[in-house]
Amino acid sequence: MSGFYDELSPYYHLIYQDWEASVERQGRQLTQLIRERWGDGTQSILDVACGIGTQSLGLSAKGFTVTASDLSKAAVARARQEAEARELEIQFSVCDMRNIESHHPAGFDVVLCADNSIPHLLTDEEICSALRAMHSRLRPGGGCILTMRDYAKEGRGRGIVKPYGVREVGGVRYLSLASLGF
Amino acid sequence: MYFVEDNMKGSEPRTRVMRSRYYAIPIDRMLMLMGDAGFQSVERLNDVYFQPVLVGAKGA
Repeated sequence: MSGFYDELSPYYHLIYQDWEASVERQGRQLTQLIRERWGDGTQSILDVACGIGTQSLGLSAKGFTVTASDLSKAAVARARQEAEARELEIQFSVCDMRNIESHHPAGFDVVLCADNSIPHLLTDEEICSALRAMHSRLRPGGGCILTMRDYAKEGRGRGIVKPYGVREVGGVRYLSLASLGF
Repeated sequence: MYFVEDNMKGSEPRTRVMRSRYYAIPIDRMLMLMGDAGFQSVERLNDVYFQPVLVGAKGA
């Protein structure tokens, strides 16, 4: 799995119509959710599947203290560069979400696993193991946020093509699409 | 994922292909697993983010 994201990390922003705007919007939406559910005193966030930093960057910019990890070294390296470019202080490291219990300290206000990351774990047992690890890293009363696709609303079959559109960056035109099969 | 890269200078475009797998787990089942893992007050939230959001809390 890390190989997939190592290869994807230079291109990941191309999936978004406007990645910069998505960083800001997702940071704002998650901030509103966190404030509404767990109050203004919520400060520390552990992002266990940070990828290139889409959610961590936006949340750090909103004032949260963000610790972020991902199993992909290349994705974490890019996230670190993106944070530096924005002068954001985020503690990044490489860690599989199933191993966070021995990697991160406990006591976070919120644990986040966004953007359909957890369904990369392919059995109920693996998912439950990761969820237990997330639970262990929270302070008592802390909150967990998962975001994922609603597979009940996805088409079924093979050869389903999902276009992500055409972007032009630095004189290069990129066409990106996914080919899906259920 | 397929990425076709065209430098728009007449040379051959480059295509990068990356493959991955997902478990198409229903959201109701994920909520159940969150409960099994110890989370309380698990809940699905719609229309607050670009994907459905699942929340839960650790007991105080």
